[in-house]
Amino acid sequence: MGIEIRNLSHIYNPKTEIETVALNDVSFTFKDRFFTAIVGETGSGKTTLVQHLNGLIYPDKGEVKIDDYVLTSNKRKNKKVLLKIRKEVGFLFQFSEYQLFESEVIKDVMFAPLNFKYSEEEARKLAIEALKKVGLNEDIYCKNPLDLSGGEKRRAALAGIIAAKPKYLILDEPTSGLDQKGKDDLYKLLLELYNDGINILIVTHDMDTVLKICDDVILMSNGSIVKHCDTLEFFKDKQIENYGIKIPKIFEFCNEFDKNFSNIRCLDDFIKELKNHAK
Amino acid sequence: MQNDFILGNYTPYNTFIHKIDARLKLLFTIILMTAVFLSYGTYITTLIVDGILLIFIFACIFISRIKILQVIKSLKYIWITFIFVFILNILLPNSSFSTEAFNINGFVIYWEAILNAIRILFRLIMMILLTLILTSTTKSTDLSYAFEFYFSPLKLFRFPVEILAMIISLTLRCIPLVLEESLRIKKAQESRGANFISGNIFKRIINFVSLLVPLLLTCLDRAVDMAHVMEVRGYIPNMKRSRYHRYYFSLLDLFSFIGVIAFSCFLFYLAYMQFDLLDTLFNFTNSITVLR
Repeated sequence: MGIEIRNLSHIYNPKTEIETVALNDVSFTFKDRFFTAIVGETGSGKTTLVQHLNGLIYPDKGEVKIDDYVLTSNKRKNKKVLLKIRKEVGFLFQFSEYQLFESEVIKDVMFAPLNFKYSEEEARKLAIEALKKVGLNEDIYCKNPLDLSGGEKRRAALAGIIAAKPKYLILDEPTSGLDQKGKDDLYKLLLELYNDGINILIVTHDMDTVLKICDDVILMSNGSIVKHCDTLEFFKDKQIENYGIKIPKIFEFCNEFDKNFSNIRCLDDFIKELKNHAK
Repeated sequence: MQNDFILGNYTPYNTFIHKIDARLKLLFTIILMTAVFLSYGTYITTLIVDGILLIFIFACIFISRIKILQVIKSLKYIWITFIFVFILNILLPNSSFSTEAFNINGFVIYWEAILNAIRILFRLIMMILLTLILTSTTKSTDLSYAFEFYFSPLKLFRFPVEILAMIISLTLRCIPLVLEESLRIKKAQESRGANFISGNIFKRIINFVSLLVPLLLTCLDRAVDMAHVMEVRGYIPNMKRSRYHRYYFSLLDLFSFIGVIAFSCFLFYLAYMQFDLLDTLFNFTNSITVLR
């Protein structure tokens, strides 16, 4: 059980002058419970990798195993398991508010459960549950999604994904375009979802957040995995700066300041720790 | 987010067709499209000429390194149009038809109608392929310049040619963006379980709404953004502007011009003379045997 990727390769526009190797022989396994970040420079293959996990792209070589379902380069075989995989793996795109299309928020949230063969009554129940989870009030359920604010739209889009009760949730740069409060709310929500039992994989460039909430980090470069380790261990390695990763200031400061503070993940933790020491 | 190549998009190869001046390529496309839509007399002559044209077009596709398999795959999306046109042309009554092919309970289908339908399908496919060659081998900026070039005589009548060229240029530039956006939204909806390819037709129509509504909204947003960005960078519609690239005809353009014009003249001549090619060929071989 879990997610297993074996020798995965993907090439865009093969055998043309614009051929691009997006993934090159990537292999790794996700443990049973994970809150993992995928980081790396633009064009390193992060989005291509996570799109394989939802069957949005098929492998050119290798295989992707999600629980008991396997995706390979065989399109016909893949089609048989696609819907099951998509039910297991929720996927939130960058600027996900653009996927809202129904006339009412609740109808849009019900879209995924209905596609995954839940009855209308069950779908409504799941949609309301998901909307409550993301913190949207009852008075907006019947509003047009276009009338919502940016942050509300993003939360409605996330509700549209978690309404289908996925076991794994993949988020591709979910905070782009959000203000600081919107970001903080979203991350708080992700932690709640994680505590509810959903495994989370997040593609991001926001290293402060990675340090704050993720258990482990995967670093990608040129279509390959360069490093996969625990978050604190990851940021201790100065080599990551060669791959365009900026070590969070608070982490750098704490590690240089005192060894007792080397496990600090954010400013709040640091202040708390300082107060404890002062006492 | 990177995607696979979308058919019809400009691909930066360095082939002989890519190098031809955009103004000439546009002219060639119009001339060849006219040739495609001409009548060449008998059905057999027309089909032979269509065959020659199709070979010419496929040769151009091969030279310009457009993937033929992708071309065939892309045509599958318009099969419904093809089938509709085919059936419509077979069923349309015409008093000049006389050779009966099938008689289904008194409903007669004529060979002429079937041949006509095939001819129209040929025309449609060739028209699509010609446009595809033009857009795959020409940058949108060059293409918009070509349009501006041909519209320039209208400046005498104070027609806003530059604005029209800018509109065409922006539209052409937006096509790949819209396609990319549609792919992104399609993937987002597919990840929510939407099926655009198989299953119940009504369900698929509903699923297409989930693609079209966000796409339309995104396009409108992008259009407003684009207008703002242009204004911010000082774009004033009727103002005179200089040009970054200067376009000159080369020797290659001259040769290609001679080649295409000669080929088109031959086709126009055939259309004008309304030959029966089989009959002419038959008479020609007969006269050779008599001479021997």
